[in-house]
Amino acid sequence: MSLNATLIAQLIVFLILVWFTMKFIWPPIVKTMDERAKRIAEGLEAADRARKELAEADTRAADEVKKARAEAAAIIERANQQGAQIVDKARADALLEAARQKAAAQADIENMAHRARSELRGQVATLAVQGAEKILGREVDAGAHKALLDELVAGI
Amino acid sequence: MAAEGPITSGAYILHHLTYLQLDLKTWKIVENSQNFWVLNIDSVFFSVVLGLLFVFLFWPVARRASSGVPKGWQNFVEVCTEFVDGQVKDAFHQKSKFVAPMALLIFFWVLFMNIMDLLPVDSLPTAAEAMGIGHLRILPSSDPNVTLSMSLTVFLLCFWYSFYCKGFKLVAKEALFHPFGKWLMPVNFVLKVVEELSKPLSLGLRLFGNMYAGEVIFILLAALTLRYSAPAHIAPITATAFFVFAALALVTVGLVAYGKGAWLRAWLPLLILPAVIAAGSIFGFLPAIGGGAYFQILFATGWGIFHWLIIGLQAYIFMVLTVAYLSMAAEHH
Repeated sequence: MSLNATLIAQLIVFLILVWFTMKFIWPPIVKTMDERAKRIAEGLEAADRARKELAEADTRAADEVKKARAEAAAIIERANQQGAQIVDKARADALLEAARQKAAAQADIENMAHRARSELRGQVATLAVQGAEKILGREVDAGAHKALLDELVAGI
Repeated sequence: MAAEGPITSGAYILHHLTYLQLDLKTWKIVENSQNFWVLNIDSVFFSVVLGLLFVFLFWPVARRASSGVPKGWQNFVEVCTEFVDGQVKDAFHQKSKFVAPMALLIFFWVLFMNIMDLLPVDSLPTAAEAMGIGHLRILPSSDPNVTLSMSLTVFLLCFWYSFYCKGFKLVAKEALFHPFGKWLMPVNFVLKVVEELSKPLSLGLRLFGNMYAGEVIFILLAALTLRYSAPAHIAPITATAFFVFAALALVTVGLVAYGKGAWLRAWLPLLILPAVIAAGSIFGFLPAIGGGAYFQILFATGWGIFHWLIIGLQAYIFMVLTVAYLSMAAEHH
């Protein structure tokens, strides 16, 4: 083992290599790795955020659906009620109309009966007078016996 | 294996432990010079090449890095960077621009230098010999000059950093009044000096010692099988065979490390090959390379697989201790 000038040469070589590594090799690599670590951290954070947002959107959508369903149910309920109401009203209207028509018909009938009766009454008086003329063989003065005839007619 | 004819084990080992040296005063290639102004060309060359390897592996990623989805090589670089960054953050609590990059560089540079030990001991030196270079040591981290230059830099940085972070007064107080109080000031100071000097020395010598030992074992394994082996002119073939096998071991270790399910697939070729080699050397039906080479392949592969542990561990230890020493220098006790 003998030390010689190689020691000095190697010292210089070593220092140059250290300088080069320190200047050109180490910093870019470490910088790249740090950058990547940062990017990965950001990516993970973004993923977390997205997941949270998705969950939020899900619950929001579920809420919306629930609300819509309730609304639809309310609308249907209301429609049913309305339908029932319409049917009820229609029925009431129909009944009313029927009653009205019935009443009208009855009035008509009564009218007609009344008219027929009064017609008949008139004819009865005439018939009675004609009958009495036949029986008496002479003309009955309708005017003279008007009171009697009226009584007769009223009696029918 | 410069000499023709039979080589002794001793000469073989010495040959492998000799640097390719340049005398800076005469500008001539020298052998085993004890002068100070001598440069180990092989150590410098390979450490620079491996440093550049680190630069060319990491720099493109650093330049084209995007914070999008990382792929392929960028992934690997980022994993390494993150690993080193974690180590530094564990041990070092100050803010500093140079500690973490230095730790990264140290880890990979030392790792690459240590991996050179896994190349077959004869491969590159033989190739160099073919080009007319007599000696070549390809493992820079078994050169104390290399390891001590790094630990010395760390030591100087610690020295500067302790003044920078604590101020002169506090450093002086720690050096003079600790651990025995003000009445034993000189003893305290001597202790402090020893303590501080032991750090770079142990740091550099630990790496040197481990890698030197590993290298010597590879050389010994090669020398052990040398005399049963083919003559020198066969050596390149031996080396190539070993290189292939070492590459296989490398792939194996990678596969085993990669996935648990892959271990069987990975180990299968390793189990078959030794069997073929053993059979070949016993029955002599693979005579072209020479029997010893098979044993060298076998032994060196075994040691190589185990040596991976040391290679990684020593690089890691050097990095962690560097960070720890700098942290100790910066913090109050």
